[in-house]
Amino acid sequence: MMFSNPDPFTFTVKLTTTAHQQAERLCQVQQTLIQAETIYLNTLAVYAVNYYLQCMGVETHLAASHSQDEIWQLFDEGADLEIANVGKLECCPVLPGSLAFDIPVETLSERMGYVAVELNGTLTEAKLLGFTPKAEPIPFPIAQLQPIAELPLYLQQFCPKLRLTQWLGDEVVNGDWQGLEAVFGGSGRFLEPAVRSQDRPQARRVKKLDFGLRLNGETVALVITVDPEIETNVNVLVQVIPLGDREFLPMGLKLTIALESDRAEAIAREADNLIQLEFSESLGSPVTLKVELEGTVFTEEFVV
Amino acid sequence: MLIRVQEQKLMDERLKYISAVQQSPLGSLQRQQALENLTEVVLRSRSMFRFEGGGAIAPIYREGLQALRTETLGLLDREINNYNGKPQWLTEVRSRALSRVLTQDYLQQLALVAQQYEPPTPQWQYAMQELVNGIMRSRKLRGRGKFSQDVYQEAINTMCLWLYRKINTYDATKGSFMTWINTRLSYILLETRQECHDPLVQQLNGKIIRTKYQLTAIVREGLVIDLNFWLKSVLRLSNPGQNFPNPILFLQIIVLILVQMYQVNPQQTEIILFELAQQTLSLSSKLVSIESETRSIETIAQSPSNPSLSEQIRHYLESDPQGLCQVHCRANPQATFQAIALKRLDGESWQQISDCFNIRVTALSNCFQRTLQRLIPHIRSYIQGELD
Repeated sequence: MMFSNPDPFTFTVKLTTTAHQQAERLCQVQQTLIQAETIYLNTLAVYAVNYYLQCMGVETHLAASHSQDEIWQLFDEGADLEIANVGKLECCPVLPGSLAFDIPVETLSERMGYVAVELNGTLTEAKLLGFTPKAEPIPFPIAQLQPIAELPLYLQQFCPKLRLTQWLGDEVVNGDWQGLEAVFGGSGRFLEPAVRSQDRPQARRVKKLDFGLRLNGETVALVITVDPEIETNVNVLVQVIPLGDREFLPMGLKLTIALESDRAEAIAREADNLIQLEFSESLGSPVTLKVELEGTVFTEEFVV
Repeated sequence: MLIRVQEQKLMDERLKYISAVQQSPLGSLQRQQALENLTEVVLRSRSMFRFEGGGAIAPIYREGLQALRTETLGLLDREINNYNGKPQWLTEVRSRALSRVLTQDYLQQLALVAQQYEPPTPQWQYAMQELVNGIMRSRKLRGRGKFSQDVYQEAINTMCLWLYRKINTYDATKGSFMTWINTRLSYILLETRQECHDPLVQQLNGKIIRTKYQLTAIVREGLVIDLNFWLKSVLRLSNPGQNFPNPILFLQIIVLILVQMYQVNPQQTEIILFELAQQTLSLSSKLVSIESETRSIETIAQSPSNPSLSEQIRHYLESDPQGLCQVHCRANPQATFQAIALKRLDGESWQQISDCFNIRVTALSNCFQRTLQRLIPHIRSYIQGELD
């Protein structure tokens, strides 16, 4: 006998005291109980979606969302969650057993999508039922929701990828990618590439990759050197170098580069103080870099 | 309290198979068949190993389901005569069977399978959900010990989030999966304890909102009730000799009336439900003294306890001290930020304001939001200034 009970995939979040405390805090300023209830449920819905996205590794800016701002909440019935580099998601509370849910009118523009969150009767659980990129029709039928499991990949497509050639003109260093001095100081640790003759200046950036306590605090530096384009092709050199007081890279550290139609990898053997790969691609081509050690993977996605 | 039709039908099916098992001779084909049927029904509402039809399922989940079936059938076979007439008995059997399938070893395998998928693809999410469900239902997770239920649940949430982010750091050569998990949970419990606030301090309005929401859910669930069927079964249960309806029956009738009302006029019913919630809470506080609440019942505010912010905002809008509120929407000079904002504070809906100024709702709310975005820092600093 085959047991096939097709069930739409949903994600359930347990609503803890913390979630309720947030909800209580935000609904205090409302003037009537009906408005207070809306804000209360909204806050729980946002809490649940935020938790889910954090599990999925999507970066959210909860504190910057209007739904967490008491003044905004006096005027706005929306429950937004700010997603880094993407925009706002609307989190819609839904009563159990509903066939459709309402979407507040002030959220019809400037939202990347709408997530339906079913809150159970005792307000102890929030179930993410699914999402829709567009808010029509209203009320939106639950049966037409896209599976919640597709939400992270849906959001990813809006995230603009870092453009390597941008570094060539950009003097300002910011974010995770820093200049050499910031990471190496004057230590002279960094080895110049073997043969390079340049008329025009290259751009070089470094990112620290921390493999964490479990791997004895291994930290390595991922160094990317970008040459100015020759016609439409750009040469890029990618190197991985040990940081801290280690002379050699941990054995088994793997650097993988995936291009549009090619891939290559380099693995650190015993007593390697550097691994590197280089490639040449046309402007606008996608590049995916991975640095792996014992199951921990750092992935960087770029456009040339 | 309310018996739903679907549940009643389900119970009948289970009862049918249970009696079939109990009445068939031991070792007979009849008994085996009845046991298998009963197992099918019991497993229908299981929490794990539910696959979407057709997808490529990793063998480990099929194996898990098969093992669950075997264990459930075995338990039912051995313990059917302990059946106490309650549906929870069957759920408990299934739960015990599941915890026997979810051995340390099996959980470890679930973890290794999850590591093979790429986050955050749907396949990875499915594998992770089976893993987390497995951990929770295995009865191998460390208990809450001396920590409160609140702190424990908070810690579990934190641990699950950590597991989602760090599943790839688990190394099977370094130790068993559950040991890794339990060690982490113990560590998190200690950390969480320090952050949790005093649970006794709960705002009254939060309680009212939660009670009212629960009533709403019950009343809305009531919509699926077949009215005639319910009346027949209720009247059959009540004592025909009694003139005065017993309290439970009385409450059920009240809820039934609310169910009817909700269909006709939801907004009015919501107001009544709020009233009910407030009355329920003041009744329960008369019976049990609430240590943290020193206010007497008569002075419990009808509205939330800190409206001063909205009053300050209203004052700001009316007096417009910085002269920023007169900016208006292009379509209608009368639709100033000040006018719109004050109407919103008065509880007018966007549709009403749109009708008043003759501007489409979306255009109106866009224009308002853009202005609010700009003005909020000014409003905030002005209000802070007033406080100083």
